[in-house]
Amino acid sequence: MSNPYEILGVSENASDEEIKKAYRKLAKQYHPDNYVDNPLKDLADEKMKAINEAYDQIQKMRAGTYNGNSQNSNGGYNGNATFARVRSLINSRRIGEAETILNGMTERNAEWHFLMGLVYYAKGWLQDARNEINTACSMDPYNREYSMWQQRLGRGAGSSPYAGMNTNNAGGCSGCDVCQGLLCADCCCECMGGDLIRCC
Amino acid sequence: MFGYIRPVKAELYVKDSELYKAIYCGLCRYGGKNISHLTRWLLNYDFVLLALLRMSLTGEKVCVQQKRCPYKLKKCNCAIADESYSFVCSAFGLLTYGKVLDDINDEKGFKRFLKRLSKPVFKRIRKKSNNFDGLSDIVQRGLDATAKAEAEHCTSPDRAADGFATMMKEIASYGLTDEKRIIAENCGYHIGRFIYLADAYDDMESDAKSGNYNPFLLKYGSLQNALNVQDEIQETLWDSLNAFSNYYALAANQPLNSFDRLIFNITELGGRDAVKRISERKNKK
Repeated sequence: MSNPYEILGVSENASDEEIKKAYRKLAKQYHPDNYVDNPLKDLADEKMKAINEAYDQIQKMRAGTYNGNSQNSNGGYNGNATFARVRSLINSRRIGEAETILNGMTERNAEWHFLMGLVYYAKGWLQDARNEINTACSMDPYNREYSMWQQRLGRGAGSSPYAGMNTNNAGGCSGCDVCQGLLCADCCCECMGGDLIRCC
Repeated sequence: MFGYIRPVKAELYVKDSELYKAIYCGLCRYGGKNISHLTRWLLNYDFVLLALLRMSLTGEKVCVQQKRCPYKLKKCNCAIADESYSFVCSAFGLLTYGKVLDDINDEKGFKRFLKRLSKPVFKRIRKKSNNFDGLSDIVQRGLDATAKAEAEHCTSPDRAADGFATMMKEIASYGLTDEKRIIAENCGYHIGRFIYLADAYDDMESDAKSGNYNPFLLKYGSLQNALNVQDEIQETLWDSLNAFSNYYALAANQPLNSFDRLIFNITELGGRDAVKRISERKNKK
């Protein structure tokens, strides 16, 4: 793989913030949603993949450099371990604790937004949850888990047993249907030499 | 509580429609007899849904009897379910008193004077309603949290609705245990969230005029911006209705009984109808 910094178009001395900014800009530009029904879709997908890999690689490289370094504001904070803990807290329904940990974190990547979305969802804050998960998806559009949740939140209709019971005109017949039926029957009769409605 | 959610009668079985009427009459009658005659005038559809939810989840046996109604001047079907009714009427009395206190603090001039005059009446209602341990604290906490979010000019509608929704969650699940409690908590939360946000959506224009707090106006910056994203607002209201249905479906009987059909009708069709009515009113303006 070529130099990840070149792929993102930043210098090797760029700050984390600059790298994140460059990544977001490119991710927005090559987001698959912009290339629906476009012949260049495959190319954009490849480009997006390269950008994601480059960003991940830089993150990993920098995390390695910073290990035990004073630049790390959370004192030996390891993003993955914290996220794993937040996930297990959410799974065991300890939402308050998960939210406190997330609020205390300074790095806000796609995973952070996703987990915050899950916290909001568990609290019943559905609009904020949708916003956070959409942000996570736009930052990392290839993550299956994020897009699965995005679809789940966007699906709308509930899965209640009542849903199928009420549809408009279910089994009914409107005035328009009756007229249409009569006209069709009249045409058929005329074809056979008879007539059902004399005036037409 | 603003009376947004009522059933869509055209989609109800006749027997369910009759049951709904009987439950409404029963609640009105119980409130009039045990709390105050004023409750007969102030009760609304939201409390009927609360009563329905409670009857369905506690499994209380409900029987329908013919009783004379002093307002209709004839006999009509009345549901008898003292346990659920006494709880819902208590919650109603406490909420109404809290609302009157809030109004006295918020309003000015003649309206404030009128509310002050009526305070002793509501105080009596509160006294008669205070039959359940901790219920008055639940209501107080909920109203305080809502007032706090409003005073802080919170920009997230979810955060603003949280106080009211949490109060409804605790009211709906009061005295229930195990899985019924979890279902009631989630259903209560989402119905509270829906009621609060639907009211905020309905009041956007009047709040913009009077300068009162409205989470949607703050979130989107101005009335015009908020009106431009009505789809987003409606979507989040539907989200709550869907969430309610999904949770209630866990408690529904198979096949559905009259209570289940009524509750689903109110939340799935009635709730959407309420949102549609609000948006039509806005488009007319």
